[in-house]
Amino acid sequence: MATLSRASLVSAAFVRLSNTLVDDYDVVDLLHTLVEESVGLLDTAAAGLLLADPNGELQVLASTSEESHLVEALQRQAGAGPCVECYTSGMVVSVADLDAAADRWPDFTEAALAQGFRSVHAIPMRVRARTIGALNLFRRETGQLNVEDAAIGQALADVATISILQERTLRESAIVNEQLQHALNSRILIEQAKGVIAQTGRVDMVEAFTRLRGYARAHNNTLRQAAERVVNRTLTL
Amino acid sequence: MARHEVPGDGQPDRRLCMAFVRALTITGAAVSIGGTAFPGTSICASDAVAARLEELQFDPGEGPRWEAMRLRRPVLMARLRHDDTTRWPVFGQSLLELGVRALFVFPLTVGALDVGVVELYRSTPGALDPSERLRVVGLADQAAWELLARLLAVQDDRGIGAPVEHSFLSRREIHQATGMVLVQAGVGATEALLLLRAHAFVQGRPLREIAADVVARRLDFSPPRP
Repeated sequence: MATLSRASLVSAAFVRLSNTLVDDYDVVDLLHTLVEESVGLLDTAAAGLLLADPNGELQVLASTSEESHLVEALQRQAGAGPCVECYTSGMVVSVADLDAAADRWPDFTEAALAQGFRSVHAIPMRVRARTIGALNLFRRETGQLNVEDAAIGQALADVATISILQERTLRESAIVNEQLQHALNSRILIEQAKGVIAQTGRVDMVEAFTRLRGYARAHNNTLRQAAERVVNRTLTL
Repeated sequence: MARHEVPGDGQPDRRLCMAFVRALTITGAAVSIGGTAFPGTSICASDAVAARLEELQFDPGEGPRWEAMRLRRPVLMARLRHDDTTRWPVFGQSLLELGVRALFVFPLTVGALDVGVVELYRSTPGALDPSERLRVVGLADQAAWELLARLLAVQDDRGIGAPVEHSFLSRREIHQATGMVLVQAGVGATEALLLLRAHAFVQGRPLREIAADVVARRLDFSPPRP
C-alpha cells in the first residue's frame, strides 16, 4: 500500500481549508477545519482556537473535541496562559513542559495537566500588525514542537487569518470587529442547537455536535445554517 | 414582570444609534428591544423622526418593526409610496407625513434569541447597496449582543446598572441550556433564556449554575404531566 508523502498530505489539508471558503462561508466552519487539520497533520493531540471578541476577551471558537474539559482548559487560559501571551505579543509562545510553568499560570496548567497534556504550542493568528487570536496545539509529551510542524501550523493559521481579514477589512478595524462578533454569534447558535439535539435525541453534547456537523457536511450546509434549522425546529437530528 | 427598562444616562444608548448613522448613508436610526417575549422599549433614536417612527409602531402594534421581529428577516422599503403603505394603514400614512422616503428594518438577534430591531430611514428614496447591507448586519450583531448582555444584567440581583459581564454570555452552558429548555418548555429561544434567568433570580443563584444544572439534567423545565 502506498503511503502518501508528507507534502501531499499538507497540500490536501490546504485544499480542504480553502474549500471552506465558498461564497457564503461561515468563519466557524473555517476554524473547525483548521483545528481538525492541525491535529491530523501535526504531532499534536488536541487543538483549540481562540479569537478575541470586540471587547478584547478571548473566546473559544473551535476545538478538536467538544468535550467540556478541553473547552474549559482553553477558556481558563483566556484568563491567563500561553494563548493570551501569544495573542497580546503576536508571537509564538511555546511551553515545552507545562509542569514547570505551574507558577506562572496555575489555573491553566492545572486544567491542562489534568487532561494529560504536557506541552503546548500557541501560534498567533496575525496579519501584519493585527492579531485576532491564537491557535493552540496540545501535546501529551514534553518538549518543543518540531520545526517542520511549527512551520506548517503557522502556515495553516496564516491562511485562515488572511481569509478572515481580507485586505479591505484590514484597513477598517470596525469591520474586523463585526466579523469576529458574527463568528461569536454563530458559535452561540451552534451551542443552542446542541442543546436542542441533546434534549430531543437524549444524547450528550459531544454526540449532539457530531450529529450537527454530520448533517451540515452531508448536505453542504454551514454549521450555522444547520444550527438555525435545528433551533427553529424545522430539522430534527 | 417588573423591570425591563434598560438603564443608562443616554450617552451609551445614543452611541448605539449613532454607530449606524455614521457607518451608513442614512438620515437617522432608532433601536428598540422586545416585542414578543418581553415588553418593547425604545433604546435610542438619532433624531426626532426616528423616535416618532418607533412610537407610531408601539402604540397600534403594527408596522415593519413587528414584521421584522416575527419573520426574523429584514424588511426593506427603498421607495415608499402611498400604494406601498396599505399593509399598515395607520403607520404607512404617518411615514409619508414624516418625510420618510426609505425605511429599512433589521431584526437584532443573538443566535436564536430575538432581542429587538434597528430601524434606519432616509429622507430620499434609494436602496442600501450590498456593502452597506453587510455593514448593517455586522453592526446589528454587535448591538444585539450588547443589548442582550444589558437586558440580562438589569434583572440581576446586584441591582439596576450593575456592571455588564460580557464574558458570561460566552459561556457555552448557558446557550446549551437554552436549547434544552426551549424543547422542554415548548417555547422559543428567547423565552427559554428568560425562563432560565427568572429561575436564577428566584433562587438567588448565578445563571451559570442554573444552566449547568440543566445541562447535567438535574433541572428540567418540562411541564408537569397531568
